[in-house]
Amino acid sequence: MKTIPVKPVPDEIYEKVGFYWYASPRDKSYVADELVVVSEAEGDAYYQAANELYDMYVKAGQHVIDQKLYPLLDIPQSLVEMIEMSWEDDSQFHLLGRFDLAGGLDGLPISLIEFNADTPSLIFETALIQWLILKHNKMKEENQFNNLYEAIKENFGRLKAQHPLFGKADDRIPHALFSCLEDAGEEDENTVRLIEEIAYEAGFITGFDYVENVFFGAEEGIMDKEGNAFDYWFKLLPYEHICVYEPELAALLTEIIRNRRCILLNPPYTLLFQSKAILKVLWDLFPNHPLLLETDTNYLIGKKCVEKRTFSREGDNIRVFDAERNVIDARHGEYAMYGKIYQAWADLPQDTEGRLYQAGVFFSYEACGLGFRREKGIIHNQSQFAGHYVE
Amino acid sequence: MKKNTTGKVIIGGIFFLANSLIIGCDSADDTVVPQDGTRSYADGAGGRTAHQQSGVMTTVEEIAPNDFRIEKEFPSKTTGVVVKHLDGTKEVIPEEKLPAMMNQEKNEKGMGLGSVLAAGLVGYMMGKNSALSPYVYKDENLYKQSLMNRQLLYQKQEEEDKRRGYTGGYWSSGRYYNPSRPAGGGQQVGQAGTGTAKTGFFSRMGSSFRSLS
Repeated sequence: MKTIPVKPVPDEIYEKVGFYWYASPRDKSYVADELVVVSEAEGDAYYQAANELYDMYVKAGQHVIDQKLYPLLDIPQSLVEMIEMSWEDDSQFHLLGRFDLAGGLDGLPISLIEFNADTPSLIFETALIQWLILKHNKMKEENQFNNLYEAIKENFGRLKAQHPLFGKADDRIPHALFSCLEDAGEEDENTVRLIEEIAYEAGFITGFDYVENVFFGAEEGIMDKEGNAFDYWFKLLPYEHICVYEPELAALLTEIIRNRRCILLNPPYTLLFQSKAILKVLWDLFPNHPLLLETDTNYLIGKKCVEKRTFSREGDNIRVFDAERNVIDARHGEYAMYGKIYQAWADLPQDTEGRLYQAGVFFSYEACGLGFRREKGIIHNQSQFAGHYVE
Repeated sequence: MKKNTTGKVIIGGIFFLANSLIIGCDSADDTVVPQDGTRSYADGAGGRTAHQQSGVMTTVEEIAPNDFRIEKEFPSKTTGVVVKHLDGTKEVIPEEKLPAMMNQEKNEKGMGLGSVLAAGLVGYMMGKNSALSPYVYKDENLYKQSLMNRQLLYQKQEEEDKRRGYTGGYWSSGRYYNPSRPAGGGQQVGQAGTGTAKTGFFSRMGSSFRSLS
């Protein structure tokens, strides 16, 4: 694979645009000072793969609902009703998610690793930071697969257009509240605020507050402390966390959706896509599909494979097995309470220094942006972000 | 694949801002107007008084020599103007240059840049009381959209007025959370209008959560 060195963007500029997590705790830059070179054909292949995969996820989601496969996906009964209600309602659609893909460069086939459908990270980095690197290096801004900001903005417009109360020109302007947890840190908070800004530019009245301060009522809906109700609530807070830590809130949200008081973003059904056990459902529905890796809830005998938890995050609770079932790499974490899946190993493109590259392709109505993470080993939350350049 | 839009600087306020910052360090390519006092997302507290959260992004096209029309405009948190000149060059004009430019209105004949800006959404936002005119827009739909946006801007400012005075990170002055200025606030209690709704979820968890994304 090919990379090109770039002049790093000064830290002050990163801070002024709200990107405070440019440094990683391990005393190295979080943003790589190289761009991954991607050919037109490789970029198109990523784009088409994500679009095709999304269609497959929709079919798999329908299959899970029809066959009631919630236990397989580790989805608790308390979330099932909101998942099914949101699935049936056209005005509750998916704002954005990110596919993590292996391959795609150096002639390696593109394979789905997983889909971060509910609370994807890397929005700031993909939409803004890698563009900023191009501008700072006087490179042509068109040479990047990056329509993410525009796509999210268009999707907010689409949300409005599809809503029975806001679709027409003289309808009232919808209100949207944006939230994360107060202690979640600047990465989560500024990501939420960036999305809030996109919604504002798309013609919503917007507000931000921490989850802890938001009011929830079955009849009243979702409100700020003054009692102003919101039509949409964007939360960078995973549904499975709501269910585990605040079951009463899960019950209230179900009633709020049932009473049509508020639309949640991303909608509850994205939890179906977020569960890694859906990778097994996909393999069952589309066996040997070229974009899929064999996945099962049982160990894949005689194959190099990766053990993951249904709702693990950021590369935690992962074990890599060789074909003889020896553990050759592992990362611990907090997600051991969730079920296991085993996914066949896929080769990642590698640079001359031995770093492995994983592609992240965003989907917001269609595939709309590409970025990379790189690491010598399992990619995790502090792995470097690398932008790209289409040549 | 969907590539970066050409001239992304008008796609969203944050791109305009980021571009201005890059120009500030003398390495960008899109611009002519020199920058001074570029605002950052983190320091909204400077001189401007009312409605510092509300801005407007505008693209103006020169359709004949010194004859301009608004091609695009939308409310944003950043205010900026991009002018597409007849010769194909693009000019990026930061907020602080706009009042003087709009004051040129009276010296202009026809649809000069100042007159067009003053009659657009940006003029409305900056307190120019120019008559509403569909003719400064490239087409009728843009004009209708502008009327909608004026309503949005008005409501937005009303909400901001209402909230001003509250502490605690709600519409805090900086657009983005700045770690050096912790967003305080503490627990709110139920107030009139929230009825039987409940709050305080997740506040018992302490800081055991890491980034969840």
